[in-house]
Amino acid sequence: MLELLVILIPLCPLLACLAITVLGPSLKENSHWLTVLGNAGAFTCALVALIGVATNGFPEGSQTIPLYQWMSIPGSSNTMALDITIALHIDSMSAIMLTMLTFVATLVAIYASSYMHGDPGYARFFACVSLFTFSMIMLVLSANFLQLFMFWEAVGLCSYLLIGFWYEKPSASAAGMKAFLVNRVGDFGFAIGIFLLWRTFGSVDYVDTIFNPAALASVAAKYPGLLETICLCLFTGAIGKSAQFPLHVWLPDAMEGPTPVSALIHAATMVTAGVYMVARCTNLYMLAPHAQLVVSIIGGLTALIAALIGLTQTDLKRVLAYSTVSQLGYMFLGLGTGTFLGIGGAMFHLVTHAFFKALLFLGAGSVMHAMGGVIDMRQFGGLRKLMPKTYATFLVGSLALAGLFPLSGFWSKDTILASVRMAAHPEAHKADAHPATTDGHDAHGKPAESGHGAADHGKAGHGDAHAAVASVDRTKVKLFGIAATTWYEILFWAGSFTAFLTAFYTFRAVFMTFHGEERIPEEAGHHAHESPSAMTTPLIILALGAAFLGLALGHMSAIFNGTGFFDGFLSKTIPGTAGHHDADWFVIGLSTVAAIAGIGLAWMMYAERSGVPAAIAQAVPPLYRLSLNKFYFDELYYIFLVVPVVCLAQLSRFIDWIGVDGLVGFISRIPGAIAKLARPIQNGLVQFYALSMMLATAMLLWALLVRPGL
Amino acid sequence: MLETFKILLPASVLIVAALICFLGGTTKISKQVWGPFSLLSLALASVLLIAMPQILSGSTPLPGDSTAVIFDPLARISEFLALMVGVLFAGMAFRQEADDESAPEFYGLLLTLLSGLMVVSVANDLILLFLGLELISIPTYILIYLGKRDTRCQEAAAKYFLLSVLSAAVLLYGLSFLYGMTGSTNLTTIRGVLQQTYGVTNGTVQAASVSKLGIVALVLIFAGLGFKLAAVPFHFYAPDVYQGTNAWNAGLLSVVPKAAGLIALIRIVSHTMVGYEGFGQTVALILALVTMTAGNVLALLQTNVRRMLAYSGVAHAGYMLVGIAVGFWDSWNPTFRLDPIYGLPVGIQASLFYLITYSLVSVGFFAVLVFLARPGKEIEHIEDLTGLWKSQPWLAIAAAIFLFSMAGIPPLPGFWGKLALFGGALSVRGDLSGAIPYPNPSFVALAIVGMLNAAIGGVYYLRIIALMFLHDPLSTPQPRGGRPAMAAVTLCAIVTIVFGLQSRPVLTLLRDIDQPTAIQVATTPKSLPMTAAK
Repeated sequence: MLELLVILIPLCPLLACLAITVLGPSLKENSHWLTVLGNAGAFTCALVALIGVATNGFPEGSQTIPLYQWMSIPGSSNTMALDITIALHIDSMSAIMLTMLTFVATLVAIYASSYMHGDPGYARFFACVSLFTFSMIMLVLSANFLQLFMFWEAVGLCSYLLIGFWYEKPSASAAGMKAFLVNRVGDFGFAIGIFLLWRTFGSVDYVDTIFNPAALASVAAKYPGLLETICLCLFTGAIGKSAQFPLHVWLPDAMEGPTPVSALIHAATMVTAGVYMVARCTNLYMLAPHAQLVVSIIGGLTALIAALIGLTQTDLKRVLAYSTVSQLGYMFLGLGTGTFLGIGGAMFHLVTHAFFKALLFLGAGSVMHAMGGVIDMRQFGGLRKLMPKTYATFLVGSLALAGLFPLSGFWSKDTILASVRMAAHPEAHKADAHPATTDGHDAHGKPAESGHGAADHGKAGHGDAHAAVASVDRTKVKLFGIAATTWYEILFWAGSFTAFLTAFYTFRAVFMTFHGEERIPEEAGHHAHESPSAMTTPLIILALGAAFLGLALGHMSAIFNGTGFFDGFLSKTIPGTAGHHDADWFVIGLSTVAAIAGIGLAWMMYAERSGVPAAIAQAVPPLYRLSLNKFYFDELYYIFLVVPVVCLAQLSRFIDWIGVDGLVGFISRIPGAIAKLARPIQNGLVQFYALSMMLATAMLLWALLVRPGL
Repeated sequence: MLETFKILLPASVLIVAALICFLGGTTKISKQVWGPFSLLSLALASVLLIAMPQILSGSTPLPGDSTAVIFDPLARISEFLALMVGVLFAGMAFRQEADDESAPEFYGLLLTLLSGLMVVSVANDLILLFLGLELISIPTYILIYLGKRDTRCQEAAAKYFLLSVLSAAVLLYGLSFLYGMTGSTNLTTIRGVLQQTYGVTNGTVQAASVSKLGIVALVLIFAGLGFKLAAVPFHFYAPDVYQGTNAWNAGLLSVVPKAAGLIALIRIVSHTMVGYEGFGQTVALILALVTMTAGNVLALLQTNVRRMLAYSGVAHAGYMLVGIAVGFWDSWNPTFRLDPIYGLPVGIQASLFYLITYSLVSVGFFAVLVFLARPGKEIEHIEDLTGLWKSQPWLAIAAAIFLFSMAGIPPLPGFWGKLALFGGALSVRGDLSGAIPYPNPSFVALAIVGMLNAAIGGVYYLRIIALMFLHDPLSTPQPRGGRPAMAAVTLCAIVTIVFGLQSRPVLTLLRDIDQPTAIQVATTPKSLPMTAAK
């Protein structure tokens, strides 16, 4: 019964997509009903599945449901086996992702029904959104890397289609292309990682690779560098998909797409696929401490750079886009700490971020809708009286993003920072859920005591995995001659500083948009009023989530030395996350101070239009311009990547034109030439045909009887 | 004796239905009834065929050497193929022939021809097998003539008749050698006698006893059946006849004689002529190489759709012969039995698999042409299909599916078929004795030529697809093929896709077909029949 429900989760949006594609021309502005129904159906099923996992409805805590085997090639002594099966894997981690994903998708679909009103591509939009939801669900439910890759590309395709939704706008189609091409770079590494996995384990199924701790441990023992390489390759894919430095450049441009798309795909769901994938491969990464350190460093660096760029952007959606990049960086920062606290924190941040960032984007869309498509914050201001609901919800989202107690962002961000600090000072946290410093028995003994479904750990091998994990001593890991602990120490302070920056740029946007004197651009026309309830209702629902999710599910109890619901639930998949941890009062204090300082500074500078920002910009012109021009990443890539590639392309074209084309053209003419020679034989004369047949028979007889050596 | 009739029951139903058609055609019964009537009879035959295991369960099976018919997995799958093809062609003809005064004759002939194919499928006797082949040929002459009734059509009918008669004579001559050598027309008996005269001692063959008469028989049978398969150089009739007649007839010609030829070849040569595997392999190799290449290369130049499809059909016959050649090797070397490669069948099974996939898409594509045809105005030039996507989107998609499958694009069944055939050829290791462990060079060459041919084939298939999708229509087609032809197209397209994605059921059916195990061969190169025949 539960299996059927799990199958229904992707089926609902798929059917909606097919129905809209077929019926689109006649449905027109009613198309959204199908998407909303499909997404809501998927959400209902996902919720039931989540409850099913929570109440041990699946006998082993997780289940793989094979749907269809396309091909199965048995291996032999010198060939690799290849088994391509479409299967769904449900466990607590995918259940969390699915519930969040389908919930946000439903709200966004409702919102979009009003936002996209009157657009000529209305049906196409909703068909794409349904297709995206389906692909994303399948990505989350994948049971092997090949399927993961397939839907990884499918969500990329939907993203491309939706970024370039208004394809008649040159900037939109260029942005779509950029997103697609930049993602190719990451996917290249990702594909190599999957090939390596296949070569190493002889299978791409999760059960044979990342869910098989014995195999992982033996590979780690045999080829020490191999798992690190695989992890780095896979992480390259995550860098592309989750817009991490240095491939983050596509995400801000992706804001050319309709705003609901930015909220759904480029904030809440698709861009978190990389985080999800790395978290999914926890067992793998645990055996690759160097790769984990790289994950953390890239994450921390991205968080900082994106926040710095976000300081000076004037396009409201772009501020949010850089904020998304920055927050995704936080998640990787947590994932790379190699502590279950960090991984749990990253997954939790993924969920809370989905809520408050979708909320902020939809709020920005509401503003954009009212301002007649204008999104430059310099052109409007003081909208809080005009759009009270949007203002209130946007404020909640901003507070959550800034990480202010007790909103959801506070809990998740705090956990990540605490985990980084723990990684920096492993000796101070020996007793905590830090497998690197405990001997394996302790590491997986803890969740058993915590009583959160320890009996249904899923695969029995999990315990072994952590025994293997324990053998990696993280304190000895070095990168560029610097010890891992030092790296984590640096990253901790960078992360804390980013928290301050986050609060600052978020409230800079809030104050510029909603405070000060009321200014409305001319383009707004008669639109300048609060958005209709189809748009504000999703905002309110998301605001509730952004406000209370952390309190309800998070580390509330962690402060009082317990385990939050979220971690307890996630521990069904990653057992270590349920290990209890002391509240890190230092981190809590530091991040709260940072948030309040950021908001305060923004208030001082932007609450009333003052000369302060301009004065600062003039005081440090190089720094200001660096930030305003996004660290010149686009220009750097243009000079060092695009220009050489174009030159190479021109050169190749020339060589191709004179050399290869000539050769290929020559070869391709051979069959035709033979045919022209042979054609006269087919002369239409029946007596000739008969003669030829007899002659051929005679020749065959001659060949076999007289010259048998042929 | 009773069992023989039971096995022939589905074919008999069709014969009786055909007789009713012929007789009823002289009465004043509406011409409209004959289409549904023949479909009904095909349905009845299908039911009987499905129930055949139950029908046969009561009777005690006689030893194979005393029966004229046999109901083995090969017969079963061939008969199913015959009925499937029959239903599709009968359906396609609905609109075209319904108002034609010759409708009863038309359907009667179709049913006769199908019963012929079914007789070939079950025949275990040279006479009966030949009878089945003629039951296919003779109605075909008339059908070709009934098709268009202009001078070109008459020319086509006459050509087909003359060359077909010639090839039948060659085949019969070959069969007579076989009879002369063994003194029997029963295939099981022939096999037994050959096995004995071959002189098996201690499980090895005394190859010196291979008769030159047998080699003559082998070559003549290949020549006679090569005509049915349209293998080069027995293919000459195909382009002229396909072009001369209408799309429906051309479609029928592209499937039914080819199936009959392949099945007969498997029955008479692959499964029966023990001891001649080496020679059979040589002939099949040569024919496969020449046929694939000539078919594909000549198809490149064609501008007439049916003519192009004729050459494409020739090329596909070449692919099927690859499997036959591999099958000889396989049955020659029971100890080095080829494993199913990629879970796909090898050798004869692969050939049959390919025949099924080819029949499916060939019928489908001809159904597209039938649908687009108007009375007196067939689709002649490839350009007539230009811009089909704009006027008939579904038809264009279906046609593209068929062409992609013919070109062997995954995941369509044509791809799996080619993978099985060429993969089988590549898995052949060593020479006939199986002593050398590296891939056999002739088979490697065969596979490489086959793949090059697949590439050449891609050119003319993709050219049509490009015309259909990338260009604006030159004229608005006014198809009158009607719903039945459309239904045939849709059915074929859906089955093609499903087949490509999930071919397990057919593979399971095919797996039961014997790769006949020959007697153990002496492993010293000296005793190989090829050298021994010097």
